[in-house]
Amino acid sequence: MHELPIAQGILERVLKAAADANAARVTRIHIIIGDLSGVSAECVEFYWDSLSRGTPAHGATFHVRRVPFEMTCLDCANAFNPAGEALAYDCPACGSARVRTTHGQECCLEAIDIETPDDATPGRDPATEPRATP
Amino acid sequence: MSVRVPVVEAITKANDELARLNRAKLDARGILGLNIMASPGAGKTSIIECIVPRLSRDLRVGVIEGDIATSFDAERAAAAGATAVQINTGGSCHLEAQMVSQALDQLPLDALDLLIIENVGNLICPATFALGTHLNILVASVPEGDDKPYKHPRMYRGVQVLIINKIDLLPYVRFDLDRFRRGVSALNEGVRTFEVSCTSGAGIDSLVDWVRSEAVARRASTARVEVRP
Ligand SMILES: Nc1nc2c(ncn2[C@@H]2O[C@H](COP(=O)(O)OP(=O)(O)OP(=O)(O)O)[C@@H](O)[C@H]2O)c(=O)[nH]1
Ligand SMILES: [Mg+2]
Ligand SMILES: [Zn+2]
Repeated sequence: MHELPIAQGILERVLKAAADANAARVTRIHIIIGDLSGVSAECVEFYWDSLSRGTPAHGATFHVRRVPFEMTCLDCANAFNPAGEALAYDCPACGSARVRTTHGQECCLEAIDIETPDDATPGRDPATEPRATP
Repeated sequence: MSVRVPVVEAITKANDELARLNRAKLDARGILGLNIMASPGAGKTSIIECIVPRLSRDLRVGVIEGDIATSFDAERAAAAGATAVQINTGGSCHLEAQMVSQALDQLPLDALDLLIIENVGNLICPATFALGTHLNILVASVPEGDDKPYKHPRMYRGVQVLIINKIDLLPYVRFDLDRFRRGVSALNEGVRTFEVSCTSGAGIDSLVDWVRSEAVARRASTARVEVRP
């Protein structure tokens, strides 16, 4: 249940980024979540609807890039996902116990997709408009 | 047509920033901060009860106790000689930097050398929230079983110190220390480990010595900073 404060933190940051970019609406939020991060994207999404109501980020969908738990063997360089293995972190290729955790703790916001007020104006194609900032 | 705006930052950034402010409050006074995490009943408060009376000769100890309800643990820490503050989290299963910040305001920080925070008993959520302490400590206890490094890899990865408590129970409980240690070292190689029993007192000496030396080193490093022009 620690996703509530996390969702609040994401909302705050997303709204700030949206305001900085002069967005009318946030349509998508891209996040990266490792299987070891202890954060459940489903829970964050669950809170999103009520937290974001009345803000430009209400109705935004989440695009979650999941990073699997990965260990790498120091003896044979084999990379493997230990989840679901028997209770051991030994390398499945060579049996070595000399392994290191190499992925899975990632947990960050990556980008947001926004609509600018111009997008709503009929007869204009934002793709051909010059961008104010590169 | 929509535009993609990059916003690359940690999902826990809001908490991390408050944790940094807590750290600054400790650092300004040379206080060593410890965050003790464990499952419910692993012996967090028992360890505080064991070490505080022995540290009190050289150090002024403050304790922040985090629990969903009751002030039992703060009373135990105070009885052991610490200046203790209880945080009741309501329903929250972990402490956050914001709660610690409020508790810090209730402690006489200028008269402390060591701050021990006992997190809410839980092996999952506390690992996600930095509090501003210098060292994260995980207490594992023998009756929990030797499979915990495999079931809770996140918690075992995020700590600098591991205390294996209740080793007096090793003869009675199926707990393969070797299998446990192998899981730990795959996740967190070289983590400083103490094997203790709060009941028999085994291993408490070396834990006390280590905490004292860490606190003294931190106080000394702050004193050096102060005399600089
Ligand atoms: N046999 C044995 N029992 C212990 C030891 N340390 C603690 N206990 C017992 O374990 C129980 C829980 O101890 P606490 O110190 O309250 O545990 P805690 O982690 O603070 O618990 P919560 O704050 O409720 O999460 C108590 O009954 C202690 O007496 C030990 O080394 N050996
Ligand atoms: Mg306790
Ligand atoms: Zn291998």
